[in-house]
Amino acid sequence: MIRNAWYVAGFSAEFAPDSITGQVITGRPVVLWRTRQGRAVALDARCAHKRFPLWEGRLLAGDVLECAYHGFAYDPSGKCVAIPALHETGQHIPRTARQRAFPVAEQDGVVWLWPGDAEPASHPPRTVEIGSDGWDTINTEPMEVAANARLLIENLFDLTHFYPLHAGNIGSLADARVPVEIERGRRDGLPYLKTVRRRHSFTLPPMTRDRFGLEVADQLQEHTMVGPGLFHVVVTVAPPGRLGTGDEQGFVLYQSITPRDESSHVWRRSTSCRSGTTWAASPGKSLVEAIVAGAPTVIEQDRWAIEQQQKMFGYPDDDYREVHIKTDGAVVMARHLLDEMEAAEGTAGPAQVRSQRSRQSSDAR
Amino acid sequence: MTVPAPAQPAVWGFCGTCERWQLSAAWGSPPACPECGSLPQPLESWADGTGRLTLILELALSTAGGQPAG
Ligand code: FES
Ligand SMILES: [Fe+2]
Ligand SMILES: [Zn+2]
Repeated sequence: MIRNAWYVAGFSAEFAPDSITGQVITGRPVVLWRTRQGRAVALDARCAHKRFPLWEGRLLAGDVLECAYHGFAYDPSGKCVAIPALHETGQHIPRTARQRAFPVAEQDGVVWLWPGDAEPASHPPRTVEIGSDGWDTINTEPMEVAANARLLIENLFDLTHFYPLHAGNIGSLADARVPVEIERGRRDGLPYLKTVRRRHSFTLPPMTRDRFGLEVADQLQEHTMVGPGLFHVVVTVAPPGRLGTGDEQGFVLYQSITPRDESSHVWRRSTSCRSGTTWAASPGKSLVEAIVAGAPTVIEQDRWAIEQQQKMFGYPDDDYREVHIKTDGAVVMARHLLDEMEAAEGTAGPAQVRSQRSRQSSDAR
Repeated sequence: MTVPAPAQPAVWGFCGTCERWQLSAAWGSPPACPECGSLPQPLESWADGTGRLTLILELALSTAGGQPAG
């Protein structure tokens, strides 16, 4: 599990003033709240006194969080500023009564948390559309997924599960035949991996036709993993030959993947369309509503699939090996990239989601 | 006199004979699988710190029984 990375703790609206939220991020229990000035802060959720979860506590005047057990109270920096049991004796608050504070950054409508032991090496990735008036955005509720976070990353890079997993909605064999360009490199000091699929003058399926009001179109689809916690998807559609012009339509989708532990994570999705764009089949509705309306079935199918995979991790591998086909390229590369990030901090997740020796033609069958 | 080739970064390639992806700096030129000598397809190209390759998916549509109507 990679800890030295920015992870989404929530969309800004998930952190109401005066409310406390508890989360587990990369195995670390964290309590988050917003100060009166509106700043989001995060502390280790295990009270320094007796480990009681601070997310069961309450906020007092002066942005102080009081533990519900013995009342140790902490300021946003994690310093203990009150211990009720000491009031009468006049003793000092021990200097060691201090909670670890985690770096938090709120940017573009997203609250990010850095759970790692190293200092943040960079700012969190930008998600400009989420926080911008120029875009209509719909955010999902956080979804708990009972699977290792890497299984979702693999699913998002997996180009061939549209059929059969998503057959009948977004899935067709023809989709799976579009050439895929895979690109990897570094940007802003962070490694990225990206797939690009271009389609020229293709006949849109009925659902997409209703959204964009086009029968035949060019389409560009870009999926980028921006660090272990964020996937950025851009889909652009235009009449043939009109990509890159004012005739473009489309959407931007951010998917955040926040590991809780090695067998579960929280998945969030945020979809944006340029504000004012409407649904071709029903101009009273915004385009982003139409796009989000089609998503739940697909989301549930993906969640179901990766939770099923996770369940199979419970059985010993013995002589089991995966078969890697040509179209697993992006998945194989993503594993390697994430392995390197884990190795850099001296950790390693379950063998089933790391690079592994695949079944090979030289193996006895 | 041979000019030493510039240090080759490890790049990804798929060997259809070995049936696997490999990350290797030893594909050589012309490229050949370091293990079995077959031509890798595809093989990543590397320039300016960026690796690129294109996958053409070859699904045997005719053999996929019971495919969805939509
Ligand atoms: S066909 Fe991919 S897991 Fe079985
Ligand atoms: Fe999917
Ligand atoms: Zn080979």
